[in-house]
Amino acid sequence: MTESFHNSAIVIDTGALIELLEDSKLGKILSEKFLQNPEIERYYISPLTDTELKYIFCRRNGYEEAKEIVQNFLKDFIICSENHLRDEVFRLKCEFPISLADSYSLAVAIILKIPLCMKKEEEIQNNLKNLSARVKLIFIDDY
Amino acid sequence: MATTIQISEKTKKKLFMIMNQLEKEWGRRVTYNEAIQFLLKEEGRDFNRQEFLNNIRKYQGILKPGEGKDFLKELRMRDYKRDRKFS
Repeated sequence: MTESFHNSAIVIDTGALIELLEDSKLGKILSEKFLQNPEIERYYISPLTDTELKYIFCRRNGYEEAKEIVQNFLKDFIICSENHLRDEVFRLKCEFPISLADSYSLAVAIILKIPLCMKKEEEIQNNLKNLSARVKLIFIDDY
Repeated sequence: MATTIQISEKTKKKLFMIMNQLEKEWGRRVTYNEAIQFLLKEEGRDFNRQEFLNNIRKYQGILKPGEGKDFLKELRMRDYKRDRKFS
């Protein structure tokens, strides 16, 4: 399956980045199909993805190391500023039974009008039809 | 090599505010050049794929299989339970 990214930017969700950090099969798909895709030049994440990744490494390595690891790992990603997102986030959270973290990633994609690349999750699948009307969702599991 | 550019007073003030913010964050003096580089990076205009991929590769496999997923699941489950408590 090949995707065309005319707007040369994409949002990557926490779940997809964790697959990459675990170097799983899905992580390799993320790397090959999206991170190595020459048509994509800007990789956005939500501020909550930054926080969630730091939380994971904090549990594992402690605060200081977590901050350093994640800052370095994300140095070429663009972390969308929270103040641009909050109004879209509360709208999404109000309309759909989805997590705050998913709402933030979706809000980045909606506001910037770019696709969101994520892993399949039950909450998202249950609202797929309505969410797909607002934003282009790409699931690494489909490749 | 350094060069001179012309910017309006308004832009200079805004740039100065960003420099102040960065100085607080980075804990050191920040030059105009660094502030402009920061803004270009924020906009994703200085993207270098090879550097990007080389950096990513350093972190692939840093987590054991399932390790990150378990922590994330636990975090979101706690938030979900807290959510349910208030609804």
